[in-house]
Amino acid sequence: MNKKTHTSGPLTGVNVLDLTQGIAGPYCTKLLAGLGANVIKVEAAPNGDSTRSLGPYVDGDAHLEKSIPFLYLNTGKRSSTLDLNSAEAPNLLRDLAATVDLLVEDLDPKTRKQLEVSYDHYRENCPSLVVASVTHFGLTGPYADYLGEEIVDQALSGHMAITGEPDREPLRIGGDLSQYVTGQTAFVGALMALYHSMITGEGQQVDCSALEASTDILDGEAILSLTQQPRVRWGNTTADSFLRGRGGLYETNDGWIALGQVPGGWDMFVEMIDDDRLRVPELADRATRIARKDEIESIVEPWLLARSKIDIHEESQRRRNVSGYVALPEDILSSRHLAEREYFVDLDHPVAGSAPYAGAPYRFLGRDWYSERAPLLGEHNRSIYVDHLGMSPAIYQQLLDSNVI
Amino acid sequence: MPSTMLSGLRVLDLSQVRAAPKTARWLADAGAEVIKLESLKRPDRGQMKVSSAADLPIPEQKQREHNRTAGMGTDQLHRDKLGLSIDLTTDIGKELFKRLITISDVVLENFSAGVMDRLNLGYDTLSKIRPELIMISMPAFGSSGPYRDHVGYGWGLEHQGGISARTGYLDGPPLRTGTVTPDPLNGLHGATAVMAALVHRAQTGEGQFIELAHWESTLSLIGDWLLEQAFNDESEARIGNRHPIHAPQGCYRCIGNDEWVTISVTNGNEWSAFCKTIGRPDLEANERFTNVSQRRAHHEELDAIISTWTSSRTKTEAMEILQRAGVPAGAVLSNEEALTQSQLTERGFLTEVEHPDGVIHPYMNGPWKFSRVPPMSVEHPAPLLGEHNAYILGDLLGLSETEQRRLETSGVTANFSSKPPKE
Repeated sequence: MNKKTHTSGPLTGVNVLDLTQGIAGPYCTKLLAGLGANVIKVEAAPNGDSTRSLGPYVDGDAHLEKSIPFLYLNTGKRSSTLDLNSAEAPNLLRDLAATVDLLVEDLDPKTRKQLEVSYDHYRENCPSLVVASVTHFGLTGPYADYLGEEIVDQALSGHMAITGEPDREPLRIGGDLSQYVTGQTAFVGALMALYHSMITGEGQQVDCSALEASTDILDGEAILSLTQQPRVRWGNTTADSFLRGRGGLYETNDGWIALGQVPGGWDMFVEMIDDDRLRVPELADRATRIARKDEIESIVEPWLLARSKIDIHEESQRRRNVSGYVALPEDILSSRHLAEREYFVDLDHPVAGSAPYAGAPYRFLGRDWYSERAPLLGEHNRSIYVDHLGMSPAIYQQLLDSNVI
Repeated sequence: MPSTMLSGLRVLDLSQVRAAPKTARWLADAGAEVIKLESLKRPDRGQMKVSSAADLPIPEQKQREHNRTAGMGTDQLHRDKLGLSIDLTTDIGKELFKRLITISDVVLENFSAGVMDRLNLGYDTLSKIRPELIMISMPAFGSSGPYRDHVGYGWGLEHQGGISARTGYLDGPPLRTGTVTPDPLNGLHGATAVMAALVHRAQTGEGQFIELAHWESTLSLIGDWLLEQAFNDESEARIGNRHPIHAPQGCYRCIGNDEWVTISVTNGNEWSAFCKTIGRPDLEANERFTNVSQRRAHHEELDAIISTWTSSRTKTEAMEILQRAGVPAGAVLSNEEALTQSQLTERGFLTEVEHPDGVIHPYMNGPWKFSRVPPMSVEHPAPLLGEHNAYILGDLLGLSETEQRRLETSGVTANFSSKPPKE
């Protein structure tokens, strides 16, 4: 358990209204909360963030407080509830927006319009407010009303066309990388606007889409398709393996490892395998090694199969050669390097229980990362509506009784 | 017109290859003045593709080609940066660097752990000169721990960071992704950290030191998967193009050579609309597919039915028909198709800039639209080594032309036409 007392984070004092659910928006606001911002999450009553109703769940128990992605993506935030279809919703949101520096939202186009959530609508009341909209395709353009999903975003941004084997169907990158990238990208755009607002007093609307965020990370590989030749699917064969054959991925006695080479790395590799059949001058030449790949592999593979991937990796790195083992979650959770750096943070949750959570993506010297468990649905209703917003307790009770909150 | 979001800020970018340069690129996109610092002895590896001193000297033309087109999108990563070449291993080089620090706001570096301290240019030294400085160091595994000196390349981190373990066909081995995914993602995390530090500085005037270990940064993007393992002692394995929960989801063949469409049905309404749209309303009533667990159990059977429908349509037709019916679908676009699709061209995502050598190159603009400042746009191609030495040393630091010539003669500074040093 990380028992450091909090000093303050770089964003302590920044107030954020979080109208997002799923992965992209919540990852953006998770980072904001980790850096010390006061993140007020507004969840649609009655069931809250859609991720609460999507597994995997702790112990497979489909409970709103046991969704594992929700627990991870909402650390450090406070939760309030609001019936977005209620007559009171647009005004309550406008009042809440007036108390914050930044509003992050990912409403669908119809709800966004119905609730009038936009900088244009709020500017009269709060000219310095930044409103960041997180969408799959953007607030404008021919796809503005299209429905997105991780696989759809990866397909349209060009990732799938270059992932997978050349003779098989294009492949989705595992996990939800497009959504996470969108969250990162929205964070940067929102804080650029917030910085601008602090210097000039002028807020604005920020429009950030998964399609553009996901395309942007292809960097030159995307652009080279316009100026040189189109990329195709390469499977594993472009990994900078010592052979550049068979994918650069090899089996060990407990999983896979990619073996690569720094300049001069072949010699170091031969010393590690320590087999005279490899200590022949001809093999110092890369082209020869590729031509005699089968022979080399027949020597190397038994050596690899007799050892564990992490042992091989550490031995290779000790010799200053580059490699990377295919890490499974259990390998990462038990890594001695990450343990020594106290990367994981134990958090206890009243319903879900206790577990180590992935920690900060980076560290600010002398400042803490705010890791606090995800909120229960509506846990902070009173403190947000009454204490923060200044609603009278009587009206608060009325809204509770009429299920608006 | 360039963006004015961060105008007035100056950034010293000592970083190489892809991840940290991406951080600096975004700051440049938003209007900061970014100075890319390299030395002739140690030009950007991503840029120059120099593997050993034996590869030097690099003829000017070859370098120009490299700078403009080669590597991992060098030109994309370094556009709108200024080129400065100083040898930081020399005393004079260090002195010049420190003078630049006094007029800079952000420093980025991704040398191996400890290199900046060994150069006596670590944060302790630099923050004494400029307390409000924001410095971000991006070593692969961090400055502590048993792996601190490990060599970290993006492709290795793709494996160690848990990305490849989850990428692959249902029946196949782990696969790498089409791009070296961790690099840009870590670059983005770097930008989030620098922006948070800039907001803090705007409020308090305080500087900041940030360490971003690539491995940890990558792991934060799979935190939900790690937590699944921590709670349940098991976690999702490779599932190809399927969704861990919803069904059906997949990538289906269309008319043409290597043409595909992705489809993801994420709830009952979409399932109903999907069945009607593909002309199979009977599926909705079929008890083998009534709920998501049934559909998951009979996924292969559904895949065959769906392929029958998609294989007589183009990928764009299939996408448009399904989207109109309210079903998430997206054509698998090549990189070229992706960049030129109507959604992106209408939003001004691509721009073109003429290079000094007369060639027009396309660039991706920043992935945001801001309502109050001009759209981001690219003004200058990536700089050549030391291309802007005269502006930086002369205009910013006030060195005379004679002093600048002396520095170049003694090898402290260099530019793209300099002869490389004898090693």
